[in-house]
Amino acid sequence: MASSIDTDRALHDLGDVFFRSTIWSSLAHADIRSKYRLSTFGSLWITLTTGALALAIGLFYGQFFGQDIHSYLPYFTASYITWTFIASVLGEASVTLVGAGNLIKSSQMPIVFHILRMLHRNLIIVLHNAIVLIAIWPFVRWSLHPSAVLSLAGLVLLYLFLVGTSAIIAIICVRYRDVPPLIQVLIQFLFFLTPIIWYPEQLKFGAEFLKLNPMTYMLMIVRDPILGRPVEIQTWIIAIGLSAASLIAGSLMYVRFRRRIAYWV
Amino acid sequence: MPSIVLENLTIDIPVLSIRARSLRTIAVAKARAIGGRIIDSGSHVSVVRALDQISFTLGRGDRLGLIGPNGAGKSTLIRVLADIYAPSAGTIERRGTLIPMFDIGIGFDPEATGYENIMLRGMMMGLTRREIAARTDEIAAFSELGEYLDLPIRTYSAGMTLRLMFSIATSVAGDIILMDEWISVGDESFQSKAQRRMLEITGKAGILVIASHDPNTLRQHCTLGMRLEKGRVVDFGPIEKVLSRPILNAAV
Repeated sequence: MASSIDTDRALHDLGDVFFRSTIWSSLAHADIRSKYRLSTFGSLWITLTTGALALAIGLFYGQFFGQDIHSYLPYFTASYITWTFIASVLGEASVTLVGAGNLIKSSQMPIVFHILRMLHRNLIIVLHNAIVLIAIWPFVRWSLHPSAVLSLAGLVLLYLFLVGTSAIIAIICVRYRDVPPLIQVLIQFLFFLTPIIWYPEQLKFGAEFLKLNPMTYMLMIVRDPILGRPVEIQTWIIAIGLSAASLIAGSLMYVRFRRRIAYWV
Repeated sequence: MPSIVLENLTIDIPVLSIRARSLRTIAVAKARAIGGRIIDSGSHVSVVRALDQISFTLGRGDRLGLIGPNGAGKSTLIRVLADIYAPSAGTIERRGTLIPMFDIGIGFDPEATGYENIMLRGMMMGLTRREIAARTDEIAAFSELGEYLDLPIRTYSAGMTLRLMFSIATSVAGDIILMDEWISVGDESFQSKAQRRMLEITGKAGILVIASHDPNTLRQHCTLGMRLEKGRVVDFGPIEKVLSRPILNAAV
């Protein structure tokens, strides 16, 4: 059904993701600016909100897991920041194209830009939240190894993974309007199955099951290096594989369904 | 040289009922199929044929006015020419750069200043920051909004906002203008200025396609006319003739 013209157009869009990347990234910055306009703290509210939660949970919940504050507070904070990124991207991916319906039906902007705009907006939020982790270090002083920079590599991989996954979710959700609530359910479900508030090594049974959860890997490659927790090479390989697979699947879906999206929104 | 060639172009817009959009429907349909008897196909996708086998050719200097009752397919045709709807059947071949002038207000942020909105809207038109910065002065000058551009556009009057939208929309270099209803902008002096700019663009061997209900607008700006009814071309020719010929809607 998709003719070669449509395929060319979709591929051209995907090329523009790189060549005209300033467009979607600037739009994301504009979104953040617009949200915190006229407020004194501006986008620092993002940091403050996360900081308050990290303190509340991090200071008290450690005792349930037999950990003291010094190790649990940074663990929870890093987990929470990373997970919030994953969860908001997946959640917003399900509504982003529907929300941009008017623009899709009136402008020449490549449709994939709407997805990247949403993703980039969330990346800006993550970077704001990372300040919380830096701010608590002087108080807790966990040992920082040079390998902590691997967290950045992990973040890049996670970003790529989410680009592909968001494209898949966004396209499915614009066609089937039952999927967005389903995605919400799935995010809730994954929250409890992913080692976010608990430690993976505490699992007495079901550790095998944990290995089936792709979010475990994507979370660990971002969170663990900065905390000085070892990350197995196997984890990295799986994370790279997941990112590549999701990028390929997302691109294929985009090329296949690009022409239909304007009809569905 | 700009040109537009449509051949047997057909646009089917799916009307997805609530049923067709729900997963349960599909699941139920699948389950029934497994059971061996399909009671209900489950795919309630009805289709509206918005445009039916449209063929025409436009070349340099052609100014086409689209006429027809609501729902005739005028706006859909404009969106096909703008590459938003991909043809369900048939082909469209277009040479030239577009200046889309429909929905020119979408994407504006009322809290942002005029300048910020120039940037915002420019990016939504697919321009990079640098490309927009290069034409910001020209847009500002044309809009005649002066210092107002430093204020949030929520403080603008409707006419001022429209002036800004118009100035941004016509700032791109192109030779095919697409309009859904003629945009009348601002006060009298600005209106004639806007008119001059439109003529300037279309005058340079460009193409104008405009959908409108106002015969006077069409007489004034168009050379060709096309009457659409229920997605079909029922009349096509010089604008004066198309406007004066009796409407053949006995068949409708």
